[in-house]
Amino acid sequence: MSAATAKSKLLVPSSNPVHQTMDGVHPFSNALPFAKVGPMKFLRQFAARIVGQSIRIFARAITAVRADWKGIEPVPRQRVYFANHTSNADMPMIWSVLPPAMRRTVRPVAAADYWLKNKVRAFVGPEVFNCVLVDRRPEVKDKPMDKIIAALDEGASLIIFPEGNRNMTDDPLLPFKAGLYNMGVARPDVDLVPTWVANLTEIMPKGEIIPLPLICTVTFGEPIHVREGESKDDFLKRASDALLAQRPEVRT
Amino acid sequence: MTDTMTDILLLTIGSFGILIALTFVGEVLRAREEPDFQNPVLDTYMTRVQSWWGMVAFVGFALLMGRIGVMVLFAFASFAALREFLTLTTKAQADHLSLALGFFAVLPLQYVFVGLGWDGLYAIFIPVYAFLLLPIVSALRGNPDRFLMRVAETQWALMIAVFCVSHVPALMNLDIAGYGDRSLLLVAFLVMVVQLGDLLEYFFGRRIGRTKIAPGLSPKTWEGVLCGVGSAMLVGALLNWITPFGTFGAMAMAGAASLVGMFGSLVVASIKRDRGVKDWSHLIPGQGGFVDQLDSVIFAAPIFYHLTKYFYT
Repeated sequence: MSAATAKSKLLVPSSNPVHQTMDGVHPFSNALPFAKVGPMKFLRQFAARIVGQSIRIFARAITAVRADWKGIEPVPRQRVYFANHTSNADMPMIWSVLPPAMRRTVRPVAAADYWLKNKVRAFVGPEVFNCVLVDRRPEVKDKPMDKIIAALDEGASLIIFPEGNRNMTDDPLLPFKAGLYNMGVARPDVDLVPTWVANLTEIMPKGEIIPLPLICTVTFGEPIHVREGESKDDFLKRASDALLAQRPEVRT
Repeated sequence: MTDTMTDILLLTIGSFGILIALTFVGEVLRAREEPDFQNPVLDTYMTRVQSWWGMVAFVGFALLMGRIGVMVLFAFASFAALREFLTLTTKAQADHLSLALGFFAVLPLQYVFVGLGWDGLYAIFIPVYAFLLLPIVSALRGNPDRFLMRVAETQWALMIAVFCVSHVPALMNLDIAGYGDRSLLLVAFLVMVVQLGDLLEYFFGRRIGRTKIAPGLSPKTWEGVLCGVGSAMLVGALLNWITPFGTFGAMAMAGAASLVGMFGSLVVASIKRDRGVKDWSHLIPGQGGFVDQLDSVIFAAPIFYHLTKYFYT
């Protein structure tokens, strides 16, 4: 949750061992029976569980984070949760409020350069949160969208931040990147759920060191789909409006 | 086991007795209904009773742990209440440090001063020192936009959630002649008369309430409040054996605390209405947040503390 830059120069090639394990051994569930994995692997999975629970308990203790299921039921169903992005804590917050069964099948889509930067992150990103790590450099052959579609085809739900980068402006949302539209076109059956994470800008504004223990709410809205014949720009506008509509209204 | 401990145990068991009766009534009503029928009133009632089980268990356990237990319980309640309050107040990034100081310095220090029994300091620490120093910290960041709103609302949050709440454990510091270490029981007395008064005010308000006190703000009625305060006085009289007040003194103190508490919750309702929220948070199932649950105790505590100090020490 440190204030690391979202786009860093230090990029790790996608042939990183951690990365490969993710793709090769298990598709999306990070819980495999003991018999199928070695003792070391089992220990790592166990450690990942403990770290995951600790993050969840920490998030609850500090921000009393809570889900508001406005437009969907908390049931296991394949979904793409697309959320606003103001802080590195956004993804852990959404992850923390999902019920256990949903948390096991959800995979946040995250930048490989951020999550493979050091050993701790390379453990937390891929193994605790089970991230789909994408490399956003144009010269990389392993295209982000291919990996995302592959994860969807394995049955995973996804958490994505369609603004691309953390929003440091005063506007509530940055213009969406095309990814959400491409997913919606490629896999039209998957529900695209607008997910608003409230208050994180006040909890941890850019440049501050101490997080404030204010209450964080994650609001899930009604799912949307790409309509037949809908243009990319029209859809992205509609998706952005659907996400803004989940913002809880507090008069000050 | 000391007398004080025996009394606390008796009170806790008595409260559990009431809760068993309330749970039993709810279950009987539920059993009488058609299996598929959902009764929202009954469901709310049962959720609230369940939350009450939790609260009685927490308070009873804290009291049995003695001074430290009560301090820790109310420090946590303060933290939860301050978090709810500051989530809804006006603030800017320029206030980040002063808000962090509120949570991580002012709140713990206030409880340390109460714990040490420094009554001269904990009575002025937030109204004087925090009041003057935190706005300086905010001003140093050089953002004048809505400045008075920001610092005033932060101060309000600290007064309500920290200063007032800390006056419940501060009751243990009162040195009442011939009462000895039994001042712990004043905490139980205050919480019980105020909360039971609230509960009965709600019940009578629903049954016989006609004249709204503040229409458009709260469903509270004069009839409900009158019956609620009357009930609190009765409860106070029944509990007079744990107080140094005597029967009539206990009735008067219970009535005063309950009355202030009920009008205090009108103040808290006004703030909620202004901010357009129904509850302060969702941490206590069926009741809302800590501020929703404690609003009347928050207003009653400093008044009860100072009345006791003035008349009985």
